[in-house]
Formats: sequence, structure tokens, C-alpha cells
Amino acid sequence: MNEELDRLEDTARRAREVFDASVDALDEETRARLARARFAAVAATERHARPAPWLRWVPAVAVASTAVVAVLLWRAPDPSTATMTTTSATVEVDASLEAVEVLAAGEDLDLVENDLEFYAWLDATHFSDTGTTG
Amino acid sequence: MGKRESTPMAHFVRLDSEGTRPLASVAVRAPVEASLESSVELNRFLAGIERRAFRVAQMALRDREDALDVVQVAMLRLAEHYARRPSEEWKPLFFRILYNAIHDSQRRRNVRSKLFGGWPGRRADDDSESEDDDPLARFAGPGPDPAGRVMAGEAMARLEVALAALPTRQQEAFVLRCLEGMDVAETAAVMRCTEGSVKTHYFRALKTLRERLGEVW
Repeated sequence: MNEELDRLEDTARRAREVFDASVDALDEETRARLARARFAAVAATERHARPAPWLRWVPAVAVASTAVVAVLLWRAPDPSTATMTTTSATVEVDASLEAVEVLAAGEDLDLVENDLEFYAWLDATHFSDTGTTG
Repeated sequence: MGKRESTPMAHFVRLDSEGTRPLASVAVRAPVEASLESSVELNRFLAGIERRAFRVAQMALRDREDALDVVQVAMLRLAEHYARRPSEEWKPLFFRILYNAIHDSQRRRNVRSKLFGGWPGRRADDDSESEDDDPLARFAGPGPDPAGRVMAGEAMARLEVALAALPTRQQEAFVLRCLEGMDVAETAAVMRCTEGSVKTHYFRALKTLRERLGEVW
């Protein structure tokens, strides 16, 4: 049994010797290519260790963004004023749209142009829309 | 005026063309960075292992160019992902990455072989070894003791043939335990199996190699 184990150990030792000899016998070109691959790998480590160039701008961008938001909030109009302005704008847009619809519908343009009563009614309808009927 | 703080010195070492032997050491006034030390250490580690890793890959793949490719991939992956790990962990990590790359390469080769194997005009070295992969040819050339080198080449050729006939797991256990001198725990970590499996694979590999090589060695 011990003899068999010794034989196995001999085989392992011989295999190590043969393998080491084959490593030592590597040709120059292969050694040079392996060295070049190693330099590239080590250079990659250094690239990874350095932060990306664009990361240097992150603090400046953060400060600038905060400043812009602060200015916008400070300069923002009062919400109640904003509502009134919005209402006026909506009325103007609605009026324009209605005029366009009327024109597009092929109504009698003479009537539209000349009937002041119509305009009065139109105005009255607009402003009463917010409350009662149209 | 306050006392000027002294800046630590960093030593930059110029290496020879292979990057293994220092040619000159230059002291430069600069902050000493951990990354620089890590790079130097990594360079030293890779320089010590690259040729053995190449031979391991060449034995597994039987192709010089493929072996160079997988060693390069393993070096890059180790550097990019594990350079900050303790250096004692590098060897098992490196071989794990190397064997992953070897398996990837073998899979690609199998797919190529299935897709283009029957086509006329395929590469002549697809199935047969090229001159680069002939172990005897690798030992040939000028230098001292040509007879001894030829004998070593023949022994290596026999070992490669016998090793190639083993199941993959036995090959890996033999290479890592016997040729690379890893302990059972490290080998198990590389092979992602239990220590008991490593022992079994290694013993079977050694026994089979003894039977096949014992007569001629």
C-alpha cells in the first residue's frame, strides 16, 4: 500500500518537474506578449482607481441646480394671482376658439359683422358662463 | 511662517522589457497612493503567474493564440474587479477567472465546430494541433543541453496527452493541486465544489496518470 502511494507521489513530483521545465522553456515572443497583456491589465487597475473625469463636475452641477431651483421658487408668482391670470387667458382663448368655430361653420358673415346685438349677446354669454347659463 | 509639511516620497521603479526585473529606481516627490502600491503588487503577482497560467491554458485548449487570449482576459478581469481584494486571495481568484475563460473558449470552439465543421475551407488546425501546439516543437531551438530539452519535451508531450484524456474536473484538480501547489480549500474554491470532491478528483487523476505514464517516466 505504501509502495503504491509512493508511486503516486513520484508521478506527482515528476509531473511538477516536467511542467516547470515547460514553463521555463517558453519562447521570447510568448513571454513578451504575456508581459504586454500584464501591462494592459495593470493600467486598467489604475484607470479604475481614478474617478471618471465627469465626476469632478458633480458638486458644481449640484450647487448650480440648487441655486436655479431656489431662484425659481423665490421669483414664482403668488398662486392667487396666477389663478386670475390663468382665468383671463382661458377666457381669451375660448373666445378666439368660438369665433373660429363660428367662422368655420359658414355662418352668414354679414350678420356676424353687423349685428352689434349679437356681439353683446356673445359677451354676455361668455361672462355668464362662469355663473348661470349661456 | 509655519513649518512646511514634508511630502512623502514615492519610488517609481523602471522595469525591463518583460516588466519583471527593476532597471532603476527613481524617487519622486509626490503623494504616495495606495493604488500605486496596489498596482506594483499586482504587477509582481501577475509577472509571477502569467507563464504558468499560459501553459495551463495551453494544455486545456491545445492552441497558443486561444491560450494567450484567455490569460489576457483573466488578467484584465482580475485587475478590474479584484485588484482591491487582499493579495492572498488573488491566486485562487485568478485561476477561477482563468478556468471560466477557458470554458468560455471551449464552448465557443464547440459552437464554431458544429456550425462550420462540415464546411469546406475550414481552418486546417481546427482539429489537429498546429506546430505551435506541439510540445516537442516548443522545447526545440538553440540553447544549452538540447538533448535534455528534447527529453523534457517528450515527457511534457506525454503528460499533455494523458491529461487531455482525463475528465475535465480531474484535469482541473490535478493542475491546481499538483502543478500549482494549491491546498484543498483553495482548489475547492476555484472549482466551486466541496473539498471532498477535490480529493476524489485529484486522487483519480493521479491514479490514472500513474497507470498511463508510470511505464515511460
